[in-house]
Amino acid sequence: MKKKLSITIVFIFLMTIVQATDDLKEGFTMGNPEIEAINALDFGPEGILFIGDSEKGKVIAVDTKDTKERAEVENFDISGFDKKIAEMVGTTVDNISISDLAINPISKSIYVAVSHANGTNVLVKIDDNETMNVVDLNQVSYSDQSLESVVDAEAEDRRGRPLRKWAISDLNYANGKVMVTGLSNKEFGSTFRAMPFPFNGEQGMSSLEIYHAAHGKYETHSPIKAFTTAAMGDTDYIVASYTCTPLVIFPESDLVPGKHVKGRTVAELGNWNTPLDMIVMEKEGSSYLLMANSARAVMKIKLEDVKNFNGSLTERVKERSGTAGVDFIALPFVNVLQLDQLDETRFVMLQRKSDGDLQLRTSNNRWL
Amino acid sequence: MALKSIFFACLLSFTLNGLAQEAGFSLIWEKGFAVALRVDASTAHLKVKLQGAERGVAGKVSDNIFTPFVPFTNGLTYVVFSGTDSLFSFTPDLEVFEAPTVVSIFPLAEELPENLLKFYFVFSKPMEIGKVYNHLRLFQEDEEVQRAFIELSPELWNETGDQLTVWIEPGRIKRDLGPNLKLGPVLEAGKTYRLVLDKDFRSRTGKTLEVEFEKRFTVVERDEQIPKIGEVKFKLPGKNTSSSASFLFHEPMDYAISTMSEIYLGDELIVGKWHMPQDDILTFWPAKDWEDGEYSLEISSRAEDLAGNNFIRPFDVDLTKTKELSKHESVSAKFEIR
Repeated sequence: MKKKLSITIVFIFLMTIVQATDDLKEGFTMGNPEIEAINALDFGPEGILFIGDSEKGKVIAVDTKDTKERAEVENFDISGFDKKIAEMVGTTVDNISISDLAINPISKSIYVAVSHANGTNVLVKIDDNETMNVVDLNQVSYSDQSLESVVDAEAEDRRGRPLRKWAISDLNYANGKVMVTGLSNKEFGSTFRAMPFPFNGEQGMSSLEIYHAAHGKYETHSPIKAFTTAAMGDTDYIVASYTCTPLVIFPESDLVPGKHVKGRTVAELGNWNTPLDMIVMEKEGSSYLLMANSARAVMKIKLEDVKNFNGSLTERVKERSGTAGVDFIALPFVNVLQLDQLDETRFVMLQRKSDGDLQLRTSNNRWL
Repeated sequence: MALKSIFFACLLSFTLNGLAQEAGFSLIWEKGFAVALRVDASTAHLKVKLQGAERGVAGKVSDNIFTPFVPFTNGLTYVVFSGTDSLFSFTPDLEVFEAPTVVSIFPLAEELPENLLKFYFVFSKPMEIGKVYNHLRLFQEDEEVQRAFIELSPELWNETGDQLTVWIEPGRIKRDLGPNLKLGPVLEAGKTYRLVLDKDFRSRTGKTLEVEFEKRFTVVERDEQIPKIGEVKFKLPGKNTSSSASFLFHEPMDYAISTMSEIYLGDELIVGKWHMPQDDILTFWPAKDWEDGEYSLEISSRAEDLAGNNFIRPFDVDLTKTKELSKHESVSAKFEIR
């Protein structure tokens, strides 16, 4: 669901360079992908929606056939959002969770991942402030790929042992690759996976090390919570945020399958919240990272500052729970749970207001 | 949705108007959920709404069967419409389901290290998803410990939905990190704590635990040592028996080690089941009798002790002082059965 405007990405840590194909839907079949969980969403080209399913340990590419462009799209502004969703799936608000949302860059419809406490997951499509429907996934055109592929050295090594379950924390598509971060229910680590699309069964995995500025030492054990992709100068980067909130960048060229990669921490944004979502927006030739947080307002960071920040943070942040590295500006949007870009100038937020109301709101680049 | 499911006549309904008095109906159940509503008489424009709701329930209608995209929620009341005419209401019965229980919690011990990383809850039933952090609390004396857990989304459930992994806030465990400096560690040596899961936590079918679950434990000093395979002791059965083999570790281990261990005779994987009767004992029950020979216990090097230290690196690693770390995927120890 993250913005990939003007981004040119070449992931050399994939095990195989995949030839571009004219037909992205080659290999799609009609049927029921039997999706068990919808944990993360992102749109690719041609109305293809990528769904991260932690229960099945798969990424599923669904052809939504939602490819009719809309010239004019009104601002989304829906109050009582969770109540309306709950009614539509026949239950009460306390029984549902909203895991993710993604905006179709062609139709501008919003797709929302909704999970019921009983374990059922549904995809809800919102066309405008009045129209929302459940997407029937029982008969769709799709392809999928397991997170544990036959070329996965880790899987080969396990020789029949029960596979770890990977809970997908974020998923992004950029320039022919689907990237997935996951958490394990059995060990505390961080693995980054990338698979070429159309899927061919191959994927590259890297385990990542980060540098906690507040810690003062290298360490690896921290899962990625949210990430996006961005081109800065001539270099393509993955911009990731961890559960302890440092902002870390990984040059894609450093990511080699099976190796530990040390990311460069460019900002320590405080230890008191968890990053929830991030997107990249552009204005007047500059790119900005917008990041939603569990306990802080939405942060705006100029990517040029990230690029110009030389080296990694090496000193302990002096003020406890303070911040360091590149500057950020806190925008007047608190309790934002989800973010995605609507068009070149607007973005959509899922925001919990102070009175408890969950709202789907639209804002624009005047804040950039 | 398959209709070969068990049919339960739903007798708990009541009629709302004259039309409904003629309307017989039944709910179609699958795995504890009312997955569809069958109306006996032909009904035009069949719709269902949650009682009091403005919006109808999304679903599909075929042959007088309404199938919602999400099974009806047990215990809630729904109203059935023909167009705008209300026909009757129904409530999928919640009371027929057994209350879930906490079967066990790992670690089992009542003394745990200050830098304990994880708890594993094992439940008798698959539990509701996405809600556990509303129900889980840690208390020191009567005071709730704030920011005790890292509230992960998605939550870390096993494949069958009856085992949950909960991480203690790692930022408060890692020395020198902001939360550790400001709030201190979640657990402090010498103090006694209560881990509480309140009675309102529900199974997926909607039944609550009914009784609060509590684990009391006392905290002891930090564990900064990695586990060592060379210090594992064996308690072995004789050949031609199917008795268990026990492996005693020199320190308590994380419960996940029971799914990260294997036994080989040569290249042959020995099939059997692993149990963890104590935090420092791993027991293996073979499916077939033991043959005599030299066996190999192989454990993933990523298996951890209670503090997240695995066989090749400590959790709270200081790489400025640490030599290059081993990259071996597993560690092994040999034993003989004669």
